[in-house]
Amino acid sequence: MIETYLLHLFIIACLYVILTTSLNLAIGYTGLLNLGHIAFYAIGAYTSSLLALNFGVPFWIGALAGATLAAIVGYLLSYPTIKLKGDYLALGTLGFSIIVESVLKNWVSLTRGPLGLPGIPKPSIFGFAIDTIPKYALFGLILAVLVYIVLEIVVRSPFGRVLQAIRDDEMAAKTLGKDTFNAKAKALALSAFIAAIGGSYYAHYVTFIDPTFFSILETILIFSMVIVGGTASMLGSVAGAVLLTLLPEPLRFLPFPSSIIGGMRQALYALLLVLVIRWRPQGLIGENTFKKFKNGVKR
Amino acid sequence: MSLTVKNLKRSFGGVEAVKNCSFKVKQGKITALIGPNGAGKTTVFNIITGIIRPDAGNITFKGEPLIVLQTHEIARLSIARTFQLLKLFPKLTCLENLMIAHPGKDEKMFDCFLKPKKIRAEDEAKRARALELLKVVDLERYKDEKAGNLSYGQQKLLDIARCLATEANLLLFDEPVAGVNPIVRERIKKLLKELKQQGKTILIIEHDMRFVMDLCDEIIVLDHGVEIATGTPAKIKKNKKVIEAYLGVDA
Repeated sequence: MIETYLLHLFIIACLYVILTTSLNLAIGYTGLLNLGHIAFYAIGAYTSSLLALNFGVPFWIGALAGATLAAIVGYLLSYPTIKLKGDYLALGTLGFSIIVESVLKNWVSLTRGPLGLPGIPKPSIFGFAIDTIPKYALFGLILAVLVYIVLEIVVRSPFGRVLQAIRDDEMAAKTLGKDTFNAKAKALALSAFIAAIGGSYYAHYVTFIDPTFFSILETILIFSMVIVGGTASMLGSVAGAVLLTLLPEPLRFLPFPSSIIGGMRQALYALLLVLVIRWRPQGLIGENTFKKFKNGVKR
Repeated sequence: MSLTVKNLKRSFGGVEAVKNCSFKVKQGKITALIGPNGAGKTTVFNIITGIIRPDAGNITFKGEPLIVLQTHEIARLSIARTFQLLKLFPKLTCLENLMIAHPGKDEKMFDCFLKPKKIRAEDEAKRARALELLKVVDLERYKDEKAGNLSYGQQKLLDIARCLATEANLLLFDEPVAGVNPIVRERIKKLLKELKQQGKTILIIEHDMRFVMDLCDEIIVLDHGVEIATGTPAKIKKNKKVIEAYLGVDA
């Protein structure tokens, strides 16, 4: 029993590693303060679930379809938000995630609205059924490692260097001949693609999803994971995801009703976020994006 | 003729920063754009590089019209610039700051997976070139230091090196020696002379008159957004209008 519980935590930690590293690509490396990441996660989860439930589409095709859809949406989202920077982009993308959530709630004929989608089949990849918890944990590990490697290679590549240059000074990057719109849109698309894979992975694990899974609380959680772990560090994101997944778990064993424990969980995230920003603004691992450089003097 | 600016106009609210400004920059020469504060010099630079759109007028570079293009497209026509207020990438290392300026192909997202060998070879070439340039400005010992940690003078040199790393033909320098000590100033002067010998066309904005008179082949004087004089340093020194613009008219 205890192994099942621990494996479950491991599976959830893998999910958050996928979501956090992909969000860090946008926030930490490209400087896009994206608060709409959870919408891409939702698109992935719903697309592959609906394809599986309605048409019996195999998991990997559904997951790829969801990821592709999310990537296209991410790319298109760049058009209306092109001129937005910093806080304004954060509000724009937050608005986007609220729109997606309310579509999920209200497009009842497609998504069954608040009733959610029960009975999502467990995945089977090329005839290999991933139907037990240990198998799913292994599957999660493989996915998380793959995502980590892909993202680490991208951010270290010349393309990744352009993204970081855009983060530091977009105008300067433009005067060096970089098509910054194109680079930002592609980064957002890749970030969305990976988040959607995370969505499919999660939906087929829990076998039931409803719109409350994709609310602003979830956005705040993965955002906190990025900040606590450290922006512009993929390893930091892994650390943040694992830490914030495990940290509130001991609360479960306290003799309080679950309604109180839920609130305590949120309070714990907030507390950790405050502590990190006050004492270690660069995060557990990672570069300091809050510190501004000016004329050689660190402020 | 390298760069031709014709009847350029641009106002911000009620301020006419540039009004009917025309001048030419000759190929292979060092030209200075001078004038009192607020004469519109930096605005002209921003219009040339596509950061600001003009209200009217025309700019051509080697016969190609610039004002219809976006900033990055203009840069790809082999035009590079520095900024009066430095615009380095503070969290990238000095080496990366120069590597990114290399005029290679467009950086594609999946190239690092599809053709890793080619990308690695290209990056090696960029690194070698960046190291060379760091030596030119005497910053090679800071190659792995973040640009934001350098002193102001060092950042100024790095900014110039980044401009060179683009291998552009037309180089625009916005106050390259403002606020730097005499030693660095001499080094920058020497560097600009070498660039001229390599056949680059240079346009600089500068307030340091000794620096300008020493270095430049031609001077364009702007005042209140209009060019009031053009000529060699010797001619400009004696021009009455220029003296009036700088010192005011006798009562």
